[in-house]
Amino acid sequence: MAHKEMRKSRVLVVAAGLFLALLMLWSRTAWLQTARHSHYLARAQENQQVRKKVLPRRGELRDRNGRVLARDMRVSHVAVYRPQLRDAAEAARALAPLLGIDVRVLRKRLVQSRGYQWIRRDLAPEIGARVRALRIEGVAVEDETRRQYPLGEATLELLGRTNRDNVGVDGLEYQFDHELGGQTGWVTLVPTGRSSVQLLLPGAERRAARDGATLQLTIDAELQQIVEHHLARAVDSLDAVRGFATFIDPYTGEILASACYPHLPAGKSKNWNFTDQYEPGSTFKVVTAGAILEERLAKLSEYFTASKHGRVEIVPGCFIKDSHGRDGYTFFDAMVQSSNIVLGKLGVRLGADRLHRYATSLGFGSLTGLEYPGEASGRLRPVSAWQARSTPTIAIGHEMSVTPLQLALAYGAIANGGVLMEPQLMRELRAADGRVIRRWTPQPSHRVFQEQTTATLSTMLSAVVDSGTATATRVAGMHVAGKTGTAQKFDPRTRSYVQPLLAPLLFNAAARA
Amino acid sequence: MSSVHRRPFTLDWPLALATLGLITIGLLTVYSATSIPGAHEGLWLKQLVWFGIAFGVATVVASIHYRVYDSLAWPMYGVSLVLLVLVFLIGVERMGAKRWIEIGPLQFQPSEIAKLATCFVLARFFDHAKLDLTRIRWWLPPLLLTLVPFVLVAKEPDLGTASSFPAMLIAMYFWAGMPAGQLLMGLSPVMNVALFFVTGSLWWFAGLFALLVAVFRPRITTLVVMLLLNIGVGASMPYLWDHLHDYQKRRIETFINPEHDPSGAGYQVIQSKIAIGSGGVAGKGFLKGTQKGLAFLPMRHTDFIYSVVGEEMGFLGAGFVVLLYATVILSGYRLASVARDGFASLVAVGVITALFFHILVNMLMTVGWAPVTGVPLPFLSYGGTALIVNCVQIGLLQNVALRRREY
Repeated sequence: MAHKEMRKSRVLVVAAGLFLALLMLWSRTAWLQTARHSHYLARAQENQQVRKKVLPRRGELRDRNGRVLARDMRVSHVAVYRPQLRDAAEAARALAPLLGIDVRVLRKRLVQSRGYQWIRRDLAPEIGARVRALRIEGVAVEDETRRQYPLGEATLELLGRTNRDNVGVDGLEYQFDHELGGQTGWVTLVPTGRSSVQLLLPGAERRAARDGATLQLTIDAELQQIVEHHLARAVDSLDAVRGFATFIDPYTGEILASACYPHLPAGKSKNWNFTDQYEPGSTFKVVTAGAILEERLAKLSEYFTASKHGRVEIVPGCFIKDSHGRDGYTFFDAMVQSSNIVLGKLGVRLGADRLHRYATSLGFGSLTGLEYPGEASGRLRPVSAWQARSTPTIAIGHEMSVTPLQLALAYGAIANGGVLMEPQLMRELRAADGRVIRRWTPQPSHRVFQEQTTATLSTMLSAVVDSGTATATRVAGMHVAGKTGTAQKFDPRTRSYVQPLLAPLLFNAAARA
Repeated sequence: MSSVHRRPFTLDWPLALATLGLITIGLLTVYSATSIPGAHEGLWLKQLVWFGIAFGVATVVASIHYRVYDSLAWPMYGVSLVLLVLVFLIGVERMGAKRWIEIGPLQFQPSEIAKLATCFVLARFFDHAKLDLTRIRWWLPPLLLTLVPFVLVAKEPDLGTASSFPAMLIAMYFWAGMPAGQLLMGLSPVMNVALFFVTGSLWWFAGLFALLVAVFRPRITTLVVMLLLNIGVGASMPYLWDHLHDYQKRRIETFINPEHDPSGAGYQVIQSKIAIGSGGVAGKGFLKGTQKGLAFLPMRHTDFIYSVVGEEMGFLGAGFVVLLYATVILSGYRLASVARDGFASLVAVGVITALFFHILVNMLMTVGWAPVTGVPLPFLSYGGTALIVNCVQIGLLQNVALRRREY
């Protein structure tokens, strides 16, 4: 052991080291608490503030008469947190009548639950409030907003749907998500000293939630339901792959109903009326006929030869077939009986440029401008890309494609006296405070045909229904005009054209009684 | 000194009062830290009960003559090593570390017992008339005696407690009379590692080593051995780094730059600094701290209790706590220097150094100047075992105080 003298010198060394270490610690604490005090005080206060979201109410979707098509509904979910639940049997007894679950079944579920689990979801908010009033420890009630659609699947493809967070994912819910969704607000909460109660300070930062705007559509809810109902029956009875129907007011371009069937699950569903494109087939013959009349290239009584065999070479290498062999037709009869050969010949007489010009003028080959996600434009190639056979082929509605909406608008132009209307699906967007944000009014695009031309076309189309290919669509007490068409669709499986894969596109321009 | 002559058996009152003061502050702070609604309410009462037990144990430890500890040093050391090995076999695993042995309701950390036993056995070894620490025959055995429990505790893993073993050894070497130059030479591998982590270059150490050699002029054999040792340490550093646990690496990295990962590893230190810094000079007031709520300050009633003191009582309170610790530690070293018996003096040095080391490591951690090691703050942190062990340490110091005039 060391000598006493050495110990004395060593205790000084130790004391000095000790003093230094403690001084270091002391000055560090002092530095943090004086020089850096305001910095850390600010950070401590930042820690204390809690931002709580205030969710807005999503705006409603309404039909043209104000009927609600989509609305927000409050729902309550009941959950259990097992570690906090003291008496599962008693909780089951209290909850069972409210939740509509058998007591024994519920007890078993409560006993077997692990951690945080849902017991029952999507309950009415009144039931949620009553469960909350029971104040059972370990049982939680969560409120949530759910989107409800009173017309159900009848409007699925048109309105689209929202996801779990009530954000629009397709259809109009997606297109107008920003306006319908409103703005999420928040408040800054500060906890009070010892309890878990949080205070809303008067001066604290906050932002009010803004409820979403209400969107009124041009859709007629009743018509929509009727159309969907009959469409579903037709598709089911014909064992068809799919069916779709769009009703528009020809004088305004307003879409009154737009249905699809069968209904695919939300997220996969599309409104085929706007998003799918088909070869229009014979329905396109009105464009050729209209152009011929407008340009005065043929009289209704002019006679055109066809063929007994139903097959004619119109331009070198281009054969066109009729379904019924006949020597020939007048122009008028050719439309009523839908003769491919005659209309093909008329197409050649019209010429590629004029055929293309009238088709484009009626809106084919370009988007209609409808505010709907995923609208298709159809396909109409520029004349420079046409071959010799293209003119007669396109004249009878092949080598091109259209959307059902484009076709409806083109026929609308014939029904209203020759003016192409822009399609209209929305009428008014009104903010939660009643202010009108946006208003849609019927927009005529331009005149395509003289009224005389459309009158003649209407006569032709009436004859189609009365005595031609569409006699099945006659309706007692109503003036119906229209045109059938068999589209051709390329089947990628067999790598060939399949003839009747598509049901006839039918247009009923109901002449006003 | 005259009063001591009249009443030879007397406690060291500054030491006793400072300890009581710290324990009282500890109880109040545990009460405050657990006063927010949650799982830990009422812990201060448990801590009060623990203090009762600790006080009893410390009284017993103080009243047994230290000669008994002297003669039992080797058996105690042997038993503690067996317990350390047993931890690996029957220890209870908590958060990835096996540090505890459970016997019925009783739980304890064998590392704490090993710390005391090692202190006794070192003191017994150094308390020898022929001791000459410049010779390998005298300095190597204590090194080995310390290395065995150090490795066992470090393997648990509990680096915080383990590192108090070498701290104790160094202090006792010095106290037993090892020349300062030789001690610094011996410490050079440690400095080597530390400097490398701080500066990232070996050149700093090379310069320091050259300075040491110039000042202390060691024997040529010592010089060669130390040189080889340092080269070995330098070369194995990357290997050493690879064999640290991920959480250990993260703690070292976080220590060097806490804002690097503010929501992860650096979170505790940042929140602790916010707590202390926001306290200011006067503090936010008892029970009025905001950082302890909402779990911003993790381990607020155990490892980070100094932060709660700093937040609620400000620099006045924190400074007072540091002053009390200074009183305890200075009393300890003073006792070591006045004790006439060699064994008693060495035990006092070992005990107070281990205590001092824990205090420093914990407090430097809460102010962001040491890596997070999970060492509780003696007397203040909640925890029964730690409180008992710390009171036993004070009991041993009082043991020395009571008999400081004996040879």
